[in-house]
Amino acid sequence: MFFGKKWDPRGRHCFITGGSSGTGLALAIILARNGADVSIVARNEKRLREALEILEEARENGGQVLRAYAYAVDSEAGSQAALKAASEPFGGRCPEALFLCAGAARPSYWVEQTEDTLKQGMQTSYWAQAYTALAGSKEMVKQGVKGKIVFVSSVLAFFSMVGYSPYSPGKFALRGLAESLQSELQLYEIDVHISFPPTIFTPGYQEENKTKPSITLKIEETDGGLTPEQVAAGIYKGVQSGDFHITTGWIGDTFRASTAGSSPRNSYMWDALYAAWGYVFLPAWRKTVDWQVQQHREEHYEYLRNCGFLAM
Amino acid sequence: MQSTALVPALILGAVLPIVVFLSKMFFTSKKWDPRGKHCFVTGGSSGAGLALAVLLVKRGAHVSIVARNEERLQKALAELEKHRQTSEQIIKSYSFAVNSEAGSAAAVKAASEAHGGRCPDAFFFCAGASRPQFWVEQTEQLMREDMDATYGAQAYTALVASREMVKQGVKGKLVFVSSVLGYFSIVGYSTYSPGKFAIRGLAEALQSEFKLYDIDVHIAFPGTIFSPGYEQENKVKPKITLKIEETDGGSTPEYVAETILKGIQKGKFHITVDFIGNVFRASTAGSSPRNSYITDLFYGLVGYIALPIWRNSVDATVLSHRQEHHEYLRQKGIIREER
Repeated sequence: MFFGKKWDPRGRHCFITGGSSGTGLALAIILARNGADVSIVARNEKRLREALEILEEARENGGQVLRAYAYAVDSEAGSQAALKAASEPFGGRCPEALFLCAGAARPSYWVEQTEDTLKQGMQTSYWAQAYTALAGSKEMVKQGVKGKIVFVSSVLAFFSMVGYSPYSPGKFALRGLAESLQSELQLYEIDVHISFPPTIFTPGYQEENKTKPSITLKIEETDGGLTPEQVAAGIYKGVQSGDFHITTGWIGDTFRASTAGSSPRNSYMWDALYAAWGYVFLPAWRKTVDWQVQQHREEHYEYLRNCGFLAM
Repeated sequence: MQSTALVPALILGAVLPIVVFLSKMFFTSKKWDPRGKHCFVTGGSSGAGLALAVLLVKRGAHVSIVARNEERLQKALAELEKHRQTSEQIIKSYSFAVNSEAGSAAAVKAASEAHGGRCPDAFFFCAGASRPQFWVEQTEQLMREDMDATYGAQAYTALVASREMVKQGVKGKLVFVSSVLGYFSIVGYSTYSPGKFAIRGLAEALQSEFKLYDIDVHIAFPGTIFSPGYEQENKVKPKITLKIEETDGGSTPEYVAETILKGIQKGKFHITVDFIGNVFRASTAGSSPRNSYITDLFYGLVGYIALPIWRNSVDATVLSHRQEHHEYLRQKGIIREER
């Protein structure tokens, strides 16, 4: 719970990976509107240029530094280079707040995985953020910048199900990292936040659904989802309030409260209610998911035969 | 109600829930019996892996232990032979590095040969190591090595094992070994907890997905295990982490192995080894199938009160360490001027 000052992005340099689309861009816009200096980082030059134009429209004052940088941040070297480039307009001073929105999902069946696809999954769900956190923390510590690191994980870090075996490990891993750093970075007065959004309606989501197993699509049929703007607004609010775990919507809140363990909670009162509700609701929901999976067996074995995994 | 019916009704009202509760615990399904089953144990030449292998041999299973070091494997094999129950038991050791798909595939193939090509019935992934260090001293390479040692060492073998079981129609078991540091984390474990959390993420996905194949998934979350690995770990562990863990207890590999086997026999998904583990398990379960909703309620309530208090004391210890830590960073040349 936070009775102190709300975090104000005005005049602060915010560094956003995955910043040219989806949640990253939506966050960049909110921060720009509120007077922050914003650096967006992504790989695709064209998308970055288009994103920068949109960002300019959100400019709040003439003094703001709004930039775009084309780098692949899923390596320590790439992240270091991106941070160095972004620090140049500031005389070498590193960003104060890192919003790590880089990531992607490619759900598929476990038995169809290989070492390569598992490594790829971990690359896009975990390493894409971990290395930037590493490079960013080191700079903040060296320069004495008491900054913030904001990870973007997923509700699939609170639970998992059929189809997400290449994705959940990385998203759970992000939580593991955030939990450790939330403790350790107190040595440097660096704050850690981690957001757990549900389905986000982005171009990435369309891509994901092209190859998603049919049983996973079926289970998710009745799920809602959020727009990138909604997720970004939730993250912004959570960071301002000093929340460690940030969730948006009652499903996220229920999962958060039911899996918190020793993670610092934002409101012990609300969490007690959500956890009590979750104690009844989540097992019931889980049973329906299990039942749907079991119903799918025959169709799945047909699929395995058709793709040659099993003999006819 | 007539007074003569009241007493029996009260007794029934008190006894019946207890009977139902107990019967749910013991009679819902047959206990899993390792006798005659082929059990494949990675990290099987020392620590909890070896202790599990010994236990399985004692219960009449066929056991294949896998590790890298040939010498340790030979010693371990000799230890297993001491506990042989029947001459039919196939007890073997295989030297392979399982932190790759190729290594895991070779190990599983080799182990299946002694069984006419049939893959093992139960896989125990005890391979893993811990190298706690400060975050600001990490590099990409060290992070990858640790992810490989914690997550990779189990995931790739699980991949190979699953494929074989599905292809061969073996309705087997996968047993992952995570850690309480897969439920929470603290200073020093920034490259260990991600891997241990990742194992949980995998187990959660597979526990759901494997209802397609009738393959069971179990995952153990032990605390400190007094093993050779633990000695190694403490040599490099940051002082602040050691300080926080000062008052922690721990378990012997034998105790952990027994608890894991008991948990598997009872059909538990998450298996914890002591009171603290139970509290963390109950407080982080979310939608993960619980073993007992009644006992978890108790542990969950304890956790809701005790864990934040414990966490605050850990944070206080970290904060009080700030000056000493910055001195350490200056000595290592990570920061320069006096602050």
